[in-house]
Order: sequence, then structure tokens, then C-alpha cells
Amino acid sequence: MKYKEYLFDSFRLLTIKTDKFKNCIIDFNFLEDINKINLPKRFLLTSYLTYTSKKYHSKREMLIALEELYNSDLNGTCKKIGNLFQTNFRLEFINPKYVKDKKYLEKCLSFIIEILLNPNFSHNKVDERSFEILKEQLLAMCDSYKESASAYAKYNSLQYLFKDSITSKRMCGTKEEVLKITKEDLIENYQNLFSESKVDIVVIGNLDMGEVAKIISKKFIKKTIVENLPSRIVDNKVMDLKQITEEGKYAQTKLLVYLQYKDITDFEQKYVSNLYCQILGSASNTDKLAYYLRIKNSLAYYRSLEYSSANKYFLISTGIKYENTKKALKYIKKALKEMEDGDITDEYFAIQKEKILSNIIMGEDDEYYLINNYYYHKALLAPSIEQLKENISKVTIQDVKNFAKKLSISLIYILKETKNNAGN
Amino acid sequence: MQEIKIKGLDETIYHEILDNGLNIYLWNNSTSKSFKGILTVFMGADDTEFSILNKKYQVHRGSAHYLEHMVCENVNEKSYLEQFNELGSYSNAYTSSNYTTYEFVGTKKLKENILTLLKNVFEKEFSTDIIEREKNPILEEMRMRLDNPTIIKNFTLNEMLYKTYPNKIDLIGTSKDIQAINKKEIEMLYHSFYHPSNMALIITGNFDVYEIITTIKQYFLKHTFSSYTKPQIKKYRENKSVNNKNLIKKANVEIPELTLATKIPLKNFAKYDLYTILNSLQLLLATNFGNTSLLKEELLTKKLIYNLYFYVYKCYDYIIIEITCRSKYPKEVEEILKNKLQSLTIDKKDIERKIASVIASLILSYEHPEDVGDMINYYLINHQKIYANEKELLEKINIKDIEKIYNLIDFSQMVSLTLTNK
Repeated sequence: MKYKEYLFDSFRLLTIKTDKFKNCIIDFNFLEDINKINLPKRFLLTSYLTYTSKKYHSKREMLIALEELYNSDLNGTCKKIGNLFQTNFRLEFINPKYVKDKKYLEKCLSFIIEILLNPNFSHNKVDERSFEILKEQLLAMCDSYKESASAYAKYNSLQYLFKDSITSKRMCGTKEEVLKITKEDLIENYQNLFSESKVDIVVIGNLDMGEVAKIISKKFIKKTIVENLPSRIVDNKVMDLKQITEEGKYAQTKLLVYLQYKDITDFEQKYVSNLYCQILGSASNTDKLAYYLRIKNSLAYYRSLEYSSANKYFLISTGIKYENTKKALKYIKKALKEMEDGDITDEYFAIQKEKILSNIIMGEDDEYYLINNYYYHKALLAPSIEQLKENISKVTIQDVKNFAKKLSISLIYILKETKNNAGN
Repeated sequence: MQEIKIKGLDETIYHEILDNGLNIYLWNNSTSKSFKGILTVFMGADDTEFSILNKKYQVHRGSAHYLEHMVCENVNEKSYLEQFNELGSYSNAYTSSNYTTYEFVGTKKLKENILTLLKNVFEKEFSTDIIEREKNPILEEMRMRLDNPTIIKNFTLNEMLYKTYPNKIDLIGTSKDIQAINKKEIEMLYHSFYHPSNMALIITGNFDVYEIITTIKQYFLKHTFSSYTKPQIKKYRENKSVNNKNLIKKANVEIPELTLATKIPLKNFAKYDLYTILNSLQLLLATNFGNTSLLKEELLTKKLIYNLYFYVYKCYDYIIIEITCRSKYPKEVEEILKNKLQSLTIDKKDIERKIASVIASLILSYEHPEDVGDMINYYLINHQKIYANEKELLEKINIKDIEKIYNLIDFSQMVSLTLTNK
């Protein structure tokens, strides 16, 4: 596996040459300050660019062209990363060695560049038909979170904890925000995408990367250079503990517990947190939360633990009967206390460390993991695979104990089941 | 050991049948750092009524799923998940209507992983305490599934399509079923179906196939099984007519979801093999209802739908074609989709382009140990074999056969299910 970096005036090309995979991926990553972006507008623009273009007027035409490129796959996605916003356009295509067409590589690269540089803005106007379809779909998305009890509970609880913070804002916005989006907004948002963002193009596959760089430098144009972006970490304040109970329309009660912290070290955020999560709630039913909530007390089927380092919170969630809420909370607190006390055996700690390392090695079989890891390493200073392996090995039980002591519960959120819908 | 050469893809799958009847499939790839192991039992949630040597047995709906949970637990020993956790591997188990699968994914100690899987599935003891302890987590799993509109849709659709098949209740069972399942039932089901000759073991990753097969054989030298009488699963006499043609049901959906499903007797396609039937219909539907279809584009443009999907699958003695979409106007869309189903177009250029796309995907499918393991498992469950000539089979599909297969469909037995907001 050979990693290489090519620097151009206004963007960077990062390549991973490997013969491990039969397909290739090219990513165009646009990274911006989230506070300068209107989330639903950007979401709509991303959909628009992968729905219609000057050359392929409709999604249908675009998809037929992709099928003609041996079933290549084009995707546009948006991601909130704390104070930053990533807009990603990804093309996956088969290794040119399986294809007779000698210009296949150039055709694939030209395809995605064409989509990005030549949107369907004829005479500075967006295509009305595509705009209306996509806006309607975005409106439908605004309420779709209510279809999942977990998503609904998470969205509601985030409003209590981070009301005025970017952390609680949804990508698709609210219906009111979406209805206000105009066609002109889309053009302006497209211009901002190119003028306000740092662009990294990342390629993985068994390709002649020199040739890839040559084609990209010839075809991809970005005029503005963006130097400084804010830190990705949102300075969310640690809130005083509160407990909220709301009634939902769902069969199962959802219990969510948020933990926050003030200051942690870089080492804790990048490495110690991995061990903390693994031991508290991510170790295939052998972790503390699984032990107390499922194995020992039969209260729940699942428990989950999410860590958002960019937003500085941990979220424990589980599905239970409402009558078991108090018990479940008692055991969650017990598990947290054991983490603070370092109630972890050396043997168990070593096993969990091995498991995290094994997971990283598994990632090396996965081109998506490799391409994302390389990008985040270069763009956000996330640990590289080698750094992860090296530093995870260094974490001690004392590190985890010290880390656990820095966390405190700030919100307990209960989405209560509806009685006549509880499945009994 | 048989070497199954996958034609046109330069891949080999190794196949061995042990004396005890266990089918083993191995695929090795020298560049992989990870591996996967899958052990599938050909018994699932639908197998609730069966007979062995003319003696009839009946278990509660949900007992196969309960048994899966119990296989993952051990009496006086660490659980299945804990044991894999100690090997640094991930393990999982799941139950479907006609199979139960146990699997692991890891990077180190493949042999130990395989032996752990075999030991956990084949050397089983059940305890009433553990069965009772797991009852409430299963009830919670059931309640979680009640909130999922896709699960609600699936078993409601089955209830509409079939009069006799047992799949009209969620595979986990009802609260009453779960409460009633006991040790006796779990043991009876386990001893009736968990025999090597009713299972397949699949290992994928970077390893020496002969070393691995020897490890497996050595395990079974120490663990012998008596001869197996495969239970006779109850045969259902399902009439070709559907049970209920129209239904509107409340679920957690913000925008109504419309599903149309047609029930076609498999015997209608007697001239064709299952692979050709399913793939021909898949191609036909992809060109008429898929992302590159004119109909989807038109319905989206008119804001009549938000999305449109289709599925083709075999369920017992029937082929089911399912079209589903989210729409604010389900009644209007239903008419349009029904009319379209009666007059599908067969465009040679479209079909040929789709076939080329499917072949490209097939080339890519032999890459990750996890994906290859899942693919082999899929074919064993749904086709009872793996295809060495899949590329050839795809290349052989032609317009004439697609036309003939389409003409064999009787659309009179169609159901319409609309999920609406609670």
C-alpha cells in the first residue's frame, strides 16, 4: 500500500495505491466552516448535483451513463463534523484492468468532474423540475426521524442539551427552513461550495496515480484557496443534570443518558476514549452496560454507546419497559462508577485492547475504511492506522479510570411508551 | 475435496461433505487480513410443525429465534459472544424464516475461532435459569420490532398473501408465544434440527484450505453424531388465491407507504430454473420500475411518489413480485402501478446494459471475506447450491426468455397494503 500526496494550487490529491481491491474509489471532499452554511440548502445542493447536470439532464440519464461505465456508482453525501461540514462526492468504479476500453479511467474521472463543474444551471437558472422533486423529497425527510423511536428520542433530547448549538441541528433542517429555499439559493450555495471550502481529492485503487494526477490537474478547476478553518470541536458547555420524560407513540420506552466533559487531553480523546467505550458499552455483550442491563438483570435487549468527540458527549441508550426505568438508571450509574473506580481486570483490559486492534486490522481489508482514514488523518489530524495501533497499545487502566472521572451525567431523557401500544 | 471453479471470474470455492453430512465451503484470498466463519442451520422461524418417524411435533412461533439466543449462552461457561470476544473476534447470530446462522469475523487465530463456533453450536446444554433470564430481553426485542414499520409491513403482507403459511406473525413470535417457550421445547427443536447434515459451514479469508479442513475433520473425529432423520416439515397446501386483497394499517410512517405484491405459482415457470426466473424478473422490473425507468422518473416529476423499490423472491411454492413506494396519493399510484405491471416493456438495449452491470458487480463480489461468505450463504439458503457458471447464466438470459417468463405471470392475485401514520 503506497500513500502519496500531490499538492496543487487550490486543492490536494491524496492517493493510496494498492492491488488489494477490484474496484477503485475517487472522493472529492469539500470541507467548510459549518457556521457559514445553511444545512438544508447544502443538503439540497448535494442532491441536485448528483441528480442532474448540464450533460445529463435527469437522474435517469445520469444513471444510464453510470451503468455504461460498468455499473459505476456516484454518491453525494453531507456530514456534520462538529464545527466543520464535509460535502463528499464519491465515484466507485471497476479496476480498468477488467475493462477493454483503454480510456475507461479517463472517462470515469471526467464523469465525476463533469458532474461537479458543470451543474445544470442553464443561463444561471436551476432546472425547475429537478429542484421541485428534490425539495419535495427534502420536505418529506424533515419528519422521517419520527419513524424510528431511537432517532426521535435522540433528536428531542439533543434539543434539551444543545438547543442553541450546531450539535442539535439536523442536516435536512425543518419544514419551514426547506420551504424558504429558492432556486437562487442553490446557485449561491454552489458558488460557496467552491469558494469557501478546502478541497481534498482522495483516490484508492490499483491505478497509475501519476496518470490520475495528470487527468485531475488538467480537468478539475478550483480558483479560491481556503487556508484556515475552525477547530472541529464544538465548545459545548457542560450542563447541570436534568431529567426529562416525554410520551411517545412507540411500543418501547427509550432511555437516553448523556455524559459530558470539560477538558480532556488529545491522547484521551483519540485513544483512551476507545478503551472507555469498549469496556463500558461496546464489547459484544461482555461490557459493563450489557452485563447489568441484559445479562444480570434482564431489563433490555440492547444497549448502545455513542461517542461524539466533535460535540463532546457520550450517549448511552437502551430500550426498556417504562416501569424498569429506575432500575435501568441505577445500573447505568453503577457501571459508570465502576469505570471511575477502574474496576477492570488486567486480563479483560488486555482482551478489549486486542479487540480494538483487531478491528483496525479488519479495516485494512476495507477500501472505505482506508480512504476515509487517510482523508481524516490529513484533513482533520485524526490518527492514522499506524498511530491508532501504536497508541491504543499504550493506554492503561489508570488512563481509563482518570478519563472516566472527567465525565458527568448531564441529561437523562426518557421517551415513555404508549400504554396501548406496548405489545403485551 | 471438490474444487468448484467459478467460470470467468478466476475464483475457486472448495467444497467437502464430511461423513456426518456437514457441507463445508472454503474460499481463500491471499491478500485478506480478516476472515469470516458462518455456520448455518437449515431451520428457521417457519419450521414450527414437523414430524419425525411419523410422530408429529409442534412448537411455538418464535422458538427457533429463542433457541438461537440459547445457543449463544452456556451453562457454567462463558457465553458464545464472550468466547469470541476473548479471541479478539466479533460474533453474531440471527434467525430468519427458514434458517438460523451463527458467525464470526476476526483477524487472528482462525482455527480457534472455528473450534469455538463448532463447540458452541454442537456441544450444547440448556438451563431453565438461563432460558428464563433471557425471556425479558427477547420480549424487549419484540417490542423494539413492533416500532419498526418495515417489520410490520413484512408480516402484514404475508398475512394478506397466504392463507396457510406460518410467516404471518413476526419470526420472534408474539408475547404469548415467547412467554410459553420452555426448556423442553428448546431442547426438542435443537435435537431435531441441529445435526451436521442439516447445516453448512463456510470459511472465507486468507488460510491454507487443507489445514483448515483438517482442523474441522479432527474436531468431528472427537465429536461423533448418530445417524440423522431429517424432520419432515409440514407441507402447506396453499391455494394460489390471496387471503386479503386490500388493507390499510397504522404504523410509524410519516408518509404513507404503498406495497403491491403479486403471488405467482412457481409451477407456472416449470420450464425454467430458479436462477433464470428470479434474474429475468429482476431485469424486467429494473428496466420498468428501477432508477433508470421512465415510470419512476415520471412519478417523481409529478410528485406522486418519493421513492420506488421492487423485490422478487421465492416464498415456498410461489414467486412474489413486490413493488413499494412512499406516496401521499397511494390510491392514485396504486392504479398506475397496477396498469404498468400489466403492460411491462421489454427493451433489448436496456436489458443488455443491465446484464453488463450485473456482471460487473459479480466480478467485484469476490473480494471481501465477509461479502463472499454472505454470498455463499445466500445461495445455499435460497438456491440450495452455489453457481459455478453464474456469469454464463447471466450472459444466457435473453429477451425471448424474459418475454416468455413475463407471459407466464398471472396478475390476478395481487394485494395492496397501505401503511399510514398512527
